[in-house]
Amino acid sequence: MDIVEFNETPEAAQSSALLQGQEWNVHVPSGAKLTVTVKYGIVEILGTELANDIPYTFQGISVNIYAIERSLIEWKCLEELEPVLSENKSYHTYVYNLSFALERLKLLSFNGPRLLILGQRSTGKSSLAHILCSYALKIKQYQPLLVNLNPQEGVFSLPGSITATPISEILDVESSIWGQSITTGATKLHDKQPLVKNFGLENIEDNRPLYLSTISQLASGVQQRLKNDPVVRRSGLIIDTPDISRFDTDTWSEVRHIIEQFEINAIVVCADTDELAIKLSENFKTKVGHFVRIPPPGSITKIDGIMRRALQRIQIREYFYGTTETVLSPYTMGAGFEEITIFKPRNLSEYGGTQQEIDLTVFDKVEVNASNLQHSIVAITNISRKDTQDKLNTASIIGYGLITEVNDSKRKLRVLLPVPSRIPDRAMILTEYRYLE
Amino acid sequence: MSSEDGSDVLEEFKTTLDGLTFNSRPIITSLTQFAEEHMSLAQEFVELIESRLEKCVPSQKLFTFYVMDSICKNAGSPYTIYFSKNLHKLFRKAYLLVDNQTRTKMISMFKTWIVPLPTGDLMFDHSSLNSIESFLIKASALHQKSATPPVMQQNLSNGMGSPNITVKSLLSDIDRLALITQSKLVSTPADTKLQAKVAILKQLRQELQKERLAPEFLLQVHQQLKQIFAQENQQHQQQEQQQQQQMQQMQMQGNSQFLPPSKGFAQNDNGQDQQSNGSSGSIFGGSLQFNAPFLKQLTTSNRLNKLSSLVGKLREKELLHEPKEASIVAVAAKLEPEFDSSNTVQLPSYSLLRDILGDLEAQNQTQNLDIFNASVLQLSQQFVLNDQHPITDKLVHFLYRTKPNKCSICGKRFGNTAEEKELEVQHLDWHFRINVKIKGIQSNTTASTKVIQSRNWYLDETQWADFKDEEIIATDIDSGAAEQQPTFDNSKDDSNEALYTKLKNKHIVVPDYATDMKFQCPICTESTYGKYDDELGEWIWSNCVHVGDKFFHATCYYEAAKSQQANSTSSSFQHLQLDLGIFDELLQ
Repeated sequence: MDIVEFNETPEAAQSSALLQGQEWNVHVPSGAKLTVTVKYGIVEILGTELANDIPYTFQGISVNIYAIERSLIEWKCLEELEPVLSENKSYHTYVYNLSFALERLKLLSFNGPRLLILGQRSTGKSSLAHILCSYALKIKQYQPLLVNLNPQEGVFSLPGSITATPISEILDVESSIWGQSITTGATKLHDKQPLVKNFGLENIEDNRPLYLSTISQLASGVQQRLKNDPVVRRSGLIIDTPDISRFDTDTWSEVRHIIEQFEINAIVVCADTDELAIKLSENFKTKVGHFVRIPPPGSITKIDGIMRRALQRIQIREYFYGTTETVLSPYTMGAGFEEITIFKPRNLSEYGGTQQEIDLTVFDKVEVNASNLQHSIVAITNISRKDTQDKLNTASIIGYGLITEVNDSKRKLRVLLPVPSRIPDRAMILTEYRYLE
Repeated sequence: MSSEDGSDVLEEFKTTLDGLTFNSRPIITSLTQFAEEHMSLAQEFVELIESRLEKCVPSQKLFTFYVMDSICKNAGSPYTIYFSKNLHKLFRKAYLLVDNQTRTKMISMFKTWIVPLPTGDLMFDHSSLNSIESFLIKASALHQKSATPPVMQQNLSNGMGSPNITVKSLLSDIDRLALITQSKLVSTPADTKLQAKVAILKQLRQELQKERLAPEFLLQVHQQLKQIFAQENQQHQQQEQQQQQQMQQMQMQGNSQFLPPSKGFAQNDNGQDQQSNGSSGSIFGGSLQFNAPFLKQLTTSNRLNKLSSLVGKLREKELLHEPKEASIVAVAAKLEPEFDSSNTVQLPSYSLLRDILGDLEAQNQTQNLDIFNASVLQLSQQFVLNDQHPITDKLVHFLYRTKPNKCSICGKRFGNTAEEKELEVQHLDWHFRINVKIKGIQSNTTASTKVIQSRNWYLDETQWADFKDEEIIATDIDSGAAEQQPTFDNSKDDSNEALYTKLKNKHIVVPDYATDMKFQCPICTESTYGKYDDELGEWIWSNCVHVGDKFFHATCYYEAAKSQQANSTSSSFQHLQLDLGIFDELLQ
């Protein structure tokens, strides 16, 4: 580790002393690199306790270090950073209360609590999911099943996907996608094994039927897993969702769908006021037993469009290339146009007002050419490219590829694959995400 | 010279050198003769001497230096060239190790080195002499330092054909010396040595008058006489019989080019001081530029200047401890840190103390606390939004210090129960193996064989639903988590395929008696060679089971046993008494 540090311009390390209950927040811009070492004390990042005297490196993500006890951290960054110290003890107490209450539910039943987290954007939903998973691991050897239904966020996968992942060991605080999915080699922390379904579009409102159908697909896999795996079943579900205003809040179609599909029995609303919780409780009282509202933490990083894009870029990069700690080698493979078959989900915005007559869950075949595919991320399904299209709806995703180069005149393209192999003879689904290397 | 002769000589040289545990002239002389006779072994001799300088006890280092000095002065090149290389290092090292008396002697020896040779050159390399000189200056040998430049100056101006030293001047010096000696003889007429000395001086006088001598020889005689004068002067004042003897000894060798630097020079130093202390009308004062009183003055003022500037610098850097009260006790306490530290107890670090207290408090707080029985823990708005509830303050310890053993690599915590201890051991073991694996990958990337790690395909829905995370977090390494890849070949039944994967993962560590590293499966009669497993650090036979005294391919055994079970009469392997039971764990 020291030898690696020698290569870098030595920048004077700064120390920050944190009192018990204080939070140290900083956003590391993409391209910058922050190294933090805990000198003494107990600190955690979203519920994951950091090891002392081990340098942690953060790139392009927000870092929130919470001091459980009086602690001293040492940090350095070549860019100028302005970390903010804040104190929000009661928020953390709420989260503790919540996690102990959930813990008791796990002890009372073989079916762990199935928790749905809802709220507006930037109200701490993902952070809460993160913390609850981490705390669950600390008490016993639970494997809470983390479900991410926000297609703009990549959790153990790329943005565009929705995933379900049993959290069987500590999360990787340095990773932008919460940790690594299984690799061919060795990773510093335990790998996680997600189930990945592809939505592919950025906005849920562009194709609600497809979103619902993708959720159903994910839920059926999850239900099957819960049936097979008593540890996961007892550990329960923690479901993170996109901004609730992306959902239809008149009919509550998405929320209702999620509650039914995952058999939700507890809802946590992240909000300043009770309004949303009251509405939800009015609508779903009969199905869901517990409603709890938690005010958002004061130190939340408001993610705007630019930051979201930057984060997505980092997540895509990490999927293919790994982190500084775990360097992954993707493979670029060439193929003829006729060797690949690509579909794309329908997008309501392309159809104007005629949505009533069309089936939005149907996929359209995409003509292979540069304007359609250049720099785009494609989801590689597990169904053969010769299979019928209707199978696409139930397809699982075995991985993502990046089309780096399309040559219309030679009718050849090059695909960056995470796995060293030929381009799989599988149907692919075009996502709305682009990545320019 | 044959190599055998060479090694004999070297051996003898080494033995003789090792015998130099006291200042023995005969040994030094014989070693010098060795060096002169076997020039071809110069480098080896130099190495032997240098290694002895390095290794021998400090009290004997000086004698080894004398050997070196003697060889260089008598045999000259190439010894001087070889020695120049490490001279300053060895000198410096030795100087720092020896006592003050020996240091004085070393300085005296050094002074003889800066006397120019007849050729006008110095004996050793300029740069190494310079570095020794600057070292000596730094080593706070202040009076030596200030005395050195004039000597050099004088010697430089006294170089070849110097007009200052003529036969005439030497003769007058000898006359004066003879006068002193004779006056001594008057007081102690019985002293035969003094008589001999007078005779020798006479002889020397005759020699000088008789022959035309080379200027360098004159210089030599002049130097010798200077020393004798110094001694004589001292002896004159102190009347010490012993020193007188030594002086005579030196005088006897006066004509020889071989100049022992040992005692003569040491006394020379004293002599200079004595001389300068004595009356300014010193007998020698006139004929030499060596003006002692002036030098003395210069030295003293130099010393004062140096000291005051040193103190100033120290004060500037806050390295100087100035006790507020001019108390000797305060100074003594400062100067004796050992004394100080023996009385104060070094407290452990803050974090360690905090850890001990925190862990104890956590244990105390969580005693008899049970989440299961705490009915207050309700998933309700009322409880969750209560930030004052005392139970939370206690329960929080469950997440941290109740498990006091924190993994130093990832921060995961473990408790003190036997079960938790076991988990911790497994966890650390996992880290260790992963680190070995990661290191293996890294070291391989620098080598030509590149081990590349990349992401695996995700599992599809069915595979994932059947997947158990134990395969990832399992601490026994046989699990094939990393190998489990969704295959594109769907023809095989999934569960069957999984079973075969497991069968293939069965392995046996190659037993010691398997000298040819292979086993032959009795079913398929194919031989399998052992392969090295990096994780286990053992040679293994993969896809192998050990039944009775035979080794089988796990897959062959499974198939044969299955068919035997299905059709017990027609199996051709009936004699093998196959038992499917050994795969029970896999089949579940």
